[in-house]
Amino acid sequence: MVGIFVRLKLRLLANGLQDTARLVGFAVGAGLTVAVTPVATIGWLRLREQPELAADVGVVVFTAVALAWIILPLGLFGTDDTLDPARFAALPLRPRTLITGLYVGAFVGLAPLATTAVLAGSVFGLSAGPGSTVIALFALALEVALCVAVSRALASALSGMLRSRRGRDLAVLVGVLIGGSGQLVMLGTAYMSGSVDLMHSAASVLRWAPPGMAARAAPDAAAGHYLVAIAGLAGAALAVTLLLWWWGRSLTGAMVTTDASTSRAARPTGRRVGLHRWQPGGRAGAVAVRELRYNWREPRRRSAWVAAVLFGGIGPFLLLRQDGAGTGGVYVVCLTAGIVGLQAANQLGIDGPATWIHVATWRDPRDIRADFAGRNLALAMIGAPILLLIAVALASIAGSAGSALGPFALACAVLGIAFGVGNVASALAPFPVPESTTNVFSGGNTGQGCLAGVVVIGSLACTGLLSLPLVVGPVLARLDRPVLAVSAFLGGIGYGLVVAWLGRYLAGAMVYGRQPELLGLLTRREAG
Amino acid sequence: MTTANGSSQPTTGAGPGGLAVRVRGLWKRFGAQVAVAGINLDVPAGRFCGLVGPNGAGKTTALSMITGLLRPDAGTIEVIGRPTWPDPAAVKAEIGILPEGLRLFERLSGLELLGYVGRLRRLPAAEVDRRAEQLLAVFDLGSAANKLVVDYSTGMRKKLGLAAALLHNPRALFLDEPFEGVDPISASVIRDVLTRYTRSGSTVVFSSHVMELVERLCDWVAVMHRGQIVAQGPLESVRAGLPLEEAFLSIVGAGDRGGDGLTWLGSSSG
Repeated sequence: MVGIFVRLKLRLLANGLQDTARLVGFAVGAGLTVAVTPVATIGWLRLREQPELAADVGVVVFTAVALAWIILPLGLFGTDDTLDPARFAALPLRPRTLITGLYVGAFVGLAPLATTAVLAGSVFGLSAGPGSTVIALFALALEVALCVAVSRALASALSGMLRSRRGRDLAVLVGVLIGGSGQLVMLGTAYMSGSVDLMHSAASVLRWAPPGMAARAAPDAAAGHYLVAIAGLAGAALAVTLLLWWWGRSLTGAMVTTDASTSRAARPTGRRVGLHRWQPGGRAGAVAVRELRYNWREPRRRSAWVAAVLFGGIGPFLLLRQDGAGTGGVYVVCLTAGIVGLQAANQLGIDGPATWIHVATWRDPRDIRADFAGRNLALAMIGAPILLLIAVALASIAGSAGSALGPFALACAVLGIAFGVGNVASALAPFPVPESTTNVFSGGNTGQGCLAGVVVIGSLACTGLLSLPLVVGPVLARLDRPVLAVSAFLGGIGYGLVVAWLGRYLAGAMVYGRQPELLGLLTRREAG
Repeated sequence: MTTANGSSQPTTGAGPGGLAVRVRGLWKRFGAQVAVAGINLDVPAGRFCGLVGPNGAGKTTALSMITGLLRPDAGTIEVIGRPTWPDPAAVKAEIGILPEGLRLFERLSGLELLGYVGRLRRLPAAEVDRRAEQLLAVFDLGSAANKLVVDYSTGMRKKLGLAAALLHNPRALFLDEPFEGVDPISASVIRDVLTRYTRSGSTVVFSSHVMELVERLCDWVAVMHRGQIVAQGPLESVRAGLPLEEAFLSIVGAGDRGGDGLTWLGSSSG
């Protein structure tokens, strides 16, 4: 049975790669792996000379990799749902068989392979002698098993929460979890790369968590404590078992329950209040209102916002405390803006096959630009207040709430740039995001190689590059040239608006010429 | 039966007696598979036209190309006297579409969806709201107006999709399998609305693999088989006195395939 799942997964991946865009995504991911692996291996081999340090580094790296497996899929890329459990619901499979098959199938893919490759050096780096090498091999296997299990189990459990109506209230907690752990990894790495002592104290705590237990096993064995080593491996194995049990529970639950959060009737038109009554004229206005409703009502977008806000929202606070740079640190809110703006990177794909409704009403590129304007407007209407809140909070912590103004202005400029980049990316490489009934974090990864990841990273990189000129404002402010600085800030906002407009302009022209092709791209997955 | 065009060859145009759809030499390949193999199709304006054929005959592909949602490999298409390709914008403004699969914006309510489509079509807001309410009432969706589309049944979805396609009072309607998965009550509502619509001189082209349905509804049929139109014209001349299904089977030359190989199927087998 397991063999069937593995072959199915391989077949789905191979079929996905017949598409050029997906092939490019896969090639980029594979190239990165090939480039990073030798560097990592050399690092591991060097550590062999210093067993004490090696043990600490092992614990920290194993923990960081496991955390990355939790955060990156949930926060940015979406988990690989090539084998969508919902598709197996009608088959007479016992949960145990299903989970085993899905779990083993989950190891087939670039990400588990890359993880194994990068950590492979630890087998030699953490061991000394044949006995501990064998232990280190088991530790490596358990670490990868742990990564895959925790990523899947968490995605299923959180999906269950975010789909339900109560999930809206829980969403904040979920986000704290995702964002918080993300920041831990970022900060931890930044802290520890500078100090061996810090690394040691961190490792002395982290070694009691399952990834740490696995990492400590080989050094313990090398020191002659084989019982301790085996106990460590057993601890990690127990963690994998528990995660799989948890995954199985939430999965079987998700497969036999429906999305209850949508069965309520929408509020009748007559009693609409506040935002619900807002209905501006024009095409862009209609699209903006629809987008606002969607951001609230659709679990996938809700989860995207939660992830974006906390992924990009908690970090600045921690960075600010660490930085001690005073009010200058408030500018990290621009980073948040870049991450929030990422939601513009697949604006056509997120509508999927329903896009035909737009296609059927496009009369010229201006209509397409109006659609993008509406989408951008809706994202800005949610994103800008959040950025303002974060900027003001950061500035208050730094000592003066007034110092939020400049950073907020720049954050808005960055948001505009991100929209411009995202509009072009949406037109260039849209990927459908199939709505999974069992996983709201399902990215566009259904047999698609790494297209989603490439689009996300590429958009972030372009936004970063295009944002570089914005530095002028803060620099002038620091040089005490207030008049010039203010004009630079205003210029920055203007620049952001121009980039957003330019992206919209290009996207309109690009989409108009390829409507049938784009529609085909967005509809295709639904047939399966 | 007429295997080519109808006897009188009207000129392409919008008026009664003109052609609502005129297709010449239309081709579409997907890789090695030929979905539509050089079809010619004429549908006079004001007709209720059924595009009939088994699954995989190329009906959906043909309709997608005619309505400007799929780019043809070769051939010309005119709808209401306007070329669909290379730029389908002008045609799309004049027609209503109910595509296959019927993917709507699921997380809008029925009323919101109609309002949205109307605004995308740049109808005045007050007019959109008036028409949307009337359409929902006619299609018996009034009580579900504020329910999210994701919770609609198949029949309700088809009716809502049809309402969305009618909202801007198009001159021709193109419906892909409008009756598939629809209960008899909803089907009769859809039928009534469509009949009323064609009576005013507008054209309906719909695809179906259910011959009886086409026979009952249409006054004009085009029969598709393996990417080709094997017969088209007024219903009576195509079926030549036979039930449409028999006429179809004799046209494509299908024999009796009782399933001799399935000896294991059924509870009496060992």
